[in-house]
Order: sequence, then C-alpha cells, then structure tokens
Amino acid sequence: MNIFKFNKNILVAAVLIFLLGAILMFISFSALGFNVQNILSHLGSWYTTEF
Amino acid sequence: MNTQLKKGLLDICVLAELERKESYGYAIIQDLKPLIEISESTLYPILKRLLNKQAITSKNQIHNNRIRKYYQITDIGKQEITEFISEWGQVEKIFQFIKGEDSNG
Amino acid sequence: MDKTDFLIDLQKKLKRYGVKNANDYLDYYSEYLDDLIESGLTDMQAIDRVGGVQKVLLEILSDEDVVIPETSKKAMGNLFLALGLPLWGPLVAALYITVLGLIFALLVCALAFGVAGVWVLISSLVVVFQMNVLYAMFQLGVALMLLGLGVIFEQLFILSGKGLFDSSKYLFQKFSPREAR
Repeated sequence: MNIFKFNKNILVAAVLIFLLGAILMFISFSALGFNVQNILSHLGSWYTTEF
Repeated sequence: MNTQLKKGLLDICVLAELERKESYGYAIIQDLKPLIEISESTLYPILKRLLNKQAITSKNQIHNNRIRKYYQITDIGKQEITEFISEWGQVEKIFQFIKGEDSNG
Repeated sequence: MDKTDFLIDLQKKLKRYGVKNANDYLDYYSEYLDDLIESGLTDMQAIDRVGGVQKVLLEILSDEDVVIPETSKKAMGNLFLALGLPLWGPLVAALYITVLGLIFALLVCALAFGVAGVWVLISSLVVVFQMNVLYAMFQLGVALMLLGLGVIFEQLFILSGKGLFDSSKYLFQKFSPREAR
C-alpha cells in the first residue's frame, strides 16, 4: 500500500484513525474534568495559572 | 490450406451447408470442421456478407430459454452455388496450368 | 472472466471504436458462447475458444469500416477557439489558477496537520512521564485526530492533483491538432 498514491482504503483508515482519536480525546477530556469556563477566560494560558 | 484460396471457398461452403439444412453459428462450424476450419470470428463476417447480398436469411428461434439465430439459404444463394459449380471448368484449366500440363499445347 | 464480463467488455470497446451495429456482434457472440457452454465447456474455456476480447475486437475492426472522427470539423472548431482566445483565455486561466490554488491549499493542510500530528504524538509520550496517563490519552487522541486529518488531506491532494493532471492531458489530446489514433 503506497500512501503517496490515492487509495480508498487509506482514506477509510485515516477517517477511522480520526474517529478513534476523537473518541479517545472526548473520553479523556470528560475524565479530566477541565473547567472550560476558566480555560476560556484565560485565553489559552490556562496551564500557567492555578484553577 | 492457403488462406487466400480458403477465403473464396468459405462462403460457398457455408452456402452449401445451409442448402442441406437450416443451421446456426455453432452447428455450421462443427459441421464444416472435418472439411475446412472456420474460426468463430471469421464466420460472422461471412454470414453478414451473405445476409447483405440476400443469399441467406435469418430467423430467431427460442432454444433453452434463449434466442438462437437460424440461417436459411435463399434462391440467390442457391444461384451462387450453381454459378460456382459452373465455373469449375475454368478452375480445372487453371489447375492444369499450375501443374504444368498445358492442355492447349 | 465469465460470459457476461466478456460481453460487457466487448460492448465497451466496440462503443469506443464507434462500431455501429455493435449489438449484432454481441448477439452473435452471446449465442455462440451459449452454444459452446451448452456443449460442455466452462465459461472460461468457451471464451478461450473464441480467442478473448482483444482478438475478437481486432477481427471485428478489421472487418468493419470504423469511422474515424473527421478532422476538418475539428480544424474549424480550433479556428474559432483560437479567435475567441482573448475572450475565454483569461477566464480559463483564472479557473485553472483557482483550481491550482485549492490543490495547493490541500497540500499545505496535509503538511500542517501531518507535522502537527507527529509533533503532538511524540509529545504525548513525554506527557505520560511528566503528567499522568489521562493527560497523555487526551493528547494521544488529539494527535490521532490531527494525523487522520493529515492523511485525509494528503489523499485528497493526491486525488485532486491526479484529476487535474488527467483532465489537462485529456484536454490537450482533444484539442491537439494531430489526428486521434
């Protein structure tokens, strides 16, 4: 399988990887329980501040 | 057999076969096999040519739930065979000439 | 290849060469193959006996008067095309450049997502040791999403690039003054 040639299987695999990543991200995100409001109010510099 | 010679004979062979009985593609080739080899792809042009000059006609018949095309000889076709046979004297002379027995001499 | 494949393939090729009474040939070969199969051959053997699509096609083409498209009409069309160049030239150029730009954007997206994905993936390994597994999982998820997007864009780039190349080639062949083979 050559990744530099168009291949439907690769495209499907990429979508699957994307979905897998999304699921993993959402699960761990909800488990981490970030205070989203707090993150947004610090405009991304959340990791430098205590919350 | 020489392909040039064969080409001329094939049409007449098909006509002669159809003069005996009406027939269809596969059967024509099978029947003529012992006499002269015709490939399936050369038979169709012959049939088409003969149909075009109305030496034969065709008729669709149902065989085992599918259509099979049967060919029949017409009067024009029969005429062609008689013409071919009548020309044989000429062919014979040529044959003698080729063999080197010049009949005129 | 079975009988139907053979006939479909033959039909396609006959059509491409503009053989008019293609159906007559298809009927003939369909009937003939049926007869061969009825006599005890398999589909494959029957097709072998007939000689395969390519051979049958050659036989038909050598017998038919295949009409090759006229060139004089084409020359006339080319003249009009050439006269209208100032009119349609910029439009086509603009369209072409737009398409090129879009394709280039796909390439940039592919590279950006790909590099970001690899970077985040590597750093997620660091996070395992620095923070805890949950954080690493979060980052791994993001990395996989980025990589997935990267590969998707890369594939789209290749597809659209190939599409553009093929259509350019097609246009070039179609409008080139030389007669089509």
